[in-house]
Amino acid sequence: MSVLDRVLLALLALWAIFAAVMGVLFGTGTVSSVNITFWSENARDELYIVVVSLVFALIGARFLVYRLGRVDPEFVVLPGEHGHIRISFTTFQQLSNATGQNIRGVESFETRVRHGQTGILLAVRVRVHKDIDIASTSNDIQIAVKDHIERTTGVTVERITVNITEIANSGAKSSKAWAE
Amino acid sequence: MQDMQFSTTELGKIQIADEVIQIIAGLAASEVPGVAGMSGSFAGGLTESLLRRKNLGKGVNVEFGEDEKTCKVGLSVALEFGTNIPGTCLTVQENVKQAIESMTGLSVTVVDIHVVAVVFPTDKPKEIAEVSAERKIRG
Repeated sequence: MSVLDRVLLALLALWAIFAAVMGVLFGTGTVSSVNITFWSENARDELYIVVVSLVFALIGARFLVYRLGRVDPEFVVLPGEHGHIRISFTTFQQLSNATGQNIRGVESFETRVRHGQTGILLAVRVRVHKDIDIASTSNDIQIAVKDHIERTTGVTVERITVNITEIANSGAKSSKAWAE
Repeated sequence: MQDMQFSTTELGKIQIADEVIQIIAGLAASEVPGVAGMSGSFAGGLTESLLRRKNLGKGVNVEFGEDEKTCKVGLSVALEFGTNIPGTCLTVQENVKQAIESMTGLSVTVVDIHVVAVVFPTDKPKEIAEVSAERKIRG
């Protein structure tokens, strides 16, 4: 998202907060339509309100189009001599999970895939056995998964984010959130 | 889809249906080492189950070109775990192209491949069991 979009989004959020506050004030009877009429007594004020509302409607429409238009395909395309080769994100997930689950100390392994600048980005959620060196296991996971995916698919793995969520046979969860 | 008008002779027309190309492509792709199977749509799978007949053209999409006697082929495949995906796909492309061209005389301009999944050795017995059950039903 560009800087302009971030600014527009912040403005839209402020407008939404303002509209929400006004809605609450109207609902509770703190502000009535009489007060509003008092605020905009002359035609110029009413024009300002219309213009500001239109600007925010346009900003809202811009983000709606942005959201609807941006659907990332869930595959990576490799150009080939006789045609394209598309590798689905499911394939990357399966390869990553199969590799990760074979690493010593890993109890369960889940992968999410996203597009990167020149390849793919992986986020893995791992449940590990107790009494293991978590830092070393995480490092092993990154090396093994990156090496296996790059070797079998020819697609560059730009980054692997390892999120250790739980220790097996213990109720203590560190986090359930995905690291983005 | 309309059949390919292959040629017209004094004895009559020769037309090739897209299903024919689909079956040739499906068989050619399946015989490449490392290919676990073809991946069809949900509707195709349902039809296969209801009719209890193996759809040999499953996961194959054929488009006849504007130029004379050309076609584009798209395949959805599942590969075996451990295979080199770009290498296997290249072999599939070559095999499919060669099979269609030699059997029909059409020129294959593009063979696009979509790798939808990988199949692990543990999944294999299940698949084989399904196939043998299907054979028993047919037999």
